[in-house]
Amino acid sequence: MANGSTQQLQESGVTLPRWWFLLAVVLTLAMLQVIGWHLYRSFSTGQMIQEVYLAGEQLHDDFLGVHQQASACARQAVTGDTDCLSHYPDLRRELDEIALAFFAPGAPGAPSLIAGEAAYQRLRELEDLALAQRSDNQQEAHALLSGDEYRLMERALMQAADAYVAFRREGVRERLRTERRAEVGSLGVGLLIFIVSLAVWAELIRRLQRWRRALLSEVTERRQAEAELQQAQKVELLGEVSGGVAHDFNNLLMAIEGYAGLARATLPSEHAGVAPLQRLEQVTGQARGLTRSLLALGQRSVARKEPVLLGPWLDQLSGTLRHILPAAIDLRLEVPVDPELWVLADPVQLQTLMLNLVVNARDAMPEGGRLEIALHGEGDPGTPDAAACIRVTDTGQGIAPEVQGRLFEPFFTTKAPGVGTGLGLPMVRRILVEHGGRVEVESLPGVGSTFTIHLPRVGPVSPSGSSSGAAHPAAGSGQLILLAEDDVYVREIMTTTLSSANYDVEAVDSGSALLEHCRSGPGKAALMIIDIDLPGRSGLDCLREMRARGDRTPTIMVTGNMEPDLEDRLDGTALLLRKPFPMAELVRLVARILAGRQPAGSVQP
Amino acid sequence: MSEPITLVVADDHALLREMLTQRLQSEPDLRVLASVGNAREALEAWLEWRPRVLLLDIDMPGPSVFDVAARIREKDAGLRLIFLSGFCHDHYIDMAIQLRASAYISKREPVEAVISAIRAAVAGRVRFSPEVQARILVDRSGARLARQPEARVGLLTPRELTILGYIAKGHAKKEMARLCGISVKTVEQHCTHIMDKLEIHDRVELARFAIRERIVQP
Repeated sequence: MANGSTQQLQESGVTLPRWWFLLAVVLTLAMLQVIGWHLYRSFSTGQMIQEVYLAGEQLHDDFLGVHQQASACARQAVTGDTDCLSHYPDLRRELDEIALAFFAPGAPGAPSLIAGEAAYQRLRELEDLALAQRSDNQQEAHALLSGDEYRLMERALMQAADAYVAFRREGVRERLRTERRAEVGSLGVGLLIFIVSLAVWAELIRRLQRWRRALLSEVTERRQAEAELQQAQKVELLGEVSGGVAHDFNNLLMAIEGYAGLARATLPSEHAGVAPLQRLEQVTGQARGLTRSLLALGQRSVARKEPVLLGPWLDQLSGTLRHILPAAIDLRLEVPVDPELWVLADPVQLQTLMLNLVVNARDAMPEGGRLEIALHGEGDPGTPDAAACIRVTDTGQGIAPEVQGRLFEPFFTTKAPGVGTGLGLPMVRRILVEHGGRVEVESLPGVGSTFTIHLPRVGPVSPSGSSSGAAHPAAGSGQLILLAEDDVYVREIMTTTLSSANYDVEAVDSGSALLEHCRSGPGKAALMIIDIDLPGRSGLDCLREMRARGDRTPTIMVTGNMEPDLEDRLDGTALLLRKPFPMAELVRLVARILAGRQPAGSVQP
Repeated sequence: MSEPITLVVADDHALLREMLTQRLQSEPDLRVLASVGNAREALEAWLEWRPRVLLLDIDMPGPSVFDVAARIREKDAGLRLIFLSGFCHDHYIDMAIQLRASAYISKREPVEAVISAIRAAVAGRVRFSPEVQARILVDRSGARLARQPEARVGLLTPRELTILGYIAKGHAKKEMARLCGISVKTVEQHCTHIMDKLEIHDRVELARFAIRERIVQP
């Protein structure tokens, strides 16, 4: 069922929003990824900046600290401290190593460090000079390490170290500013994705709700269809059962009627038993009428559909309907002339349907009331849902809500025993099913009921669009028709049909018989119907010979093989009728040709 | 007195069969040779008696009545077949017509209808209800029952279709005659035949019909 539902939903344009779901998930993942990446980057960058900052501070402190030690050690060594003298080279090595990193080429703050490096070198030179002079002139050596130049160089070194630290700090600040910009950028992207993602989720939810609604409606429709199917199956089953019963009962009735007839035939007409036997035959006749309803429920009749223009048809039907309505019921017909509402329907079944609805309405208004029959169209003509609707409204007692669901069940009736059979509305439904239509019921107890039947509407049909389904009218007035047809069965059918239409038919089975007939009584026939493929002399030969003799009898030539040059050979001297054609058309054509206008084929070639 | 019409009656409903037999026997010109209860027995009775008329109920147990009737029809083209049925399905009637049945009678009709159908059949007439008769379609292989309303455009011959196209395009008769290589008189005859077949007597209506039936493009 799910597959079927999905397919039907897709057909109706409502699909499961799979792509929207995918898009929403992808966007959410992207958003999470952006946020995650941003957090990671902020954390790692912060850590890195902190490390760089601390490293710079450490280097600064180490450098100045070791410089102070080395400077103090050099002074002590100059004054004769042998320990300091021996320790000084170690401190120098250590200081040089630190200085190498401090003044590394390309290190940040290069301009101030160049001055600082020069000062550093001069300080070390002064210390080396002082140590070298210590044994010769201790006082001068000491003056080198405490003189103005030494102090000046130390101050320059200090300034360079401070500048170094300040520069490192400024670098960190710049780095932080850059990072902030990057953060704002990445957060902006994240926010954008978040907004798009929200919109997509909102759309997804909207579509899911729509899909759910469509699915629910589909499920409801399906349940309804299933219920209707069950109902239809029930009707069909009951129809079969009742049809079978009616069929057997009919056999019995035919036997009873036959035996009654037989018995009556054996009695002299003045015999006292004749009248009761005649009554028996009448009663069986009535019994047949009863079985007809049962049979109609279960079987399809020979009836067929034809284009029906509902407006005039309803106008015509209203005459019949008035006969079955008491004077206390006011019948009102609301039939618009425009638009023309055509349906493809069996007029007999349609009449049965209307009669059933009207009889029900009548029975619902025992005290009288108003019965309205209104016709209207629904949907655009030419579209599949275009329908013609007939609304039958009464002002009767209405239908109780608990009964409304059972209205179309066979044998269900609220009428008094003997009044209703419970077959009327099931028959209405069956007829509508056959016509691809449906019926709607609205009813309020005490106010009245409205039955609306919907029939598929077809485009306008001119009377010439299709042949009439009705039996041919008795069109003739005993005119003689000469029929030449070699197929005995077709000849019999045509003869019977034309005879039923009040024509006198003389039938022959060959070309030579036809010519013989014409020679013996030329001009007797009002019309000839000749099959072209006659044995012996063909129909065409016969026609030519007759025309050559001056026989201008209107002629219909019938052919099953449409040879390309046949029409040229016939040259308009007879009406050519192609097989297949229905008998109704043949009778109509014959009636038209004999209607007194210029006879067909009366001209000379 | 002429030879009586010989019959075999087949109906599974014993009461009805006996009544029919008695009723038909009571007619001086009818003679029931056998009455049987199914199609197989009907075949045997036909083989034995060779009646002129075979009266068959459609709904009988055993082999299909139509199959058996078809076998008999192959051997006896002149046999008059009359079908009797409680059901008036199109399909059954169509089968009966294709078997060249003389009549299809509903059991709702009185026995007199059966008797008159037997006499009509022997006299070379067929008997179907007027509605069915109007729907019998004569085609190349014989007759059948039309299922759908046949469009009247199907009645037109190729030349008539061509002329109708020219009418719809507004050609003059002379022009049509020149285009078709026929005389103006013949064109006029074709026009008359078209109007007869379509029951339209107005050039404008003919043009509309041609457009509606897609014989010409609007």
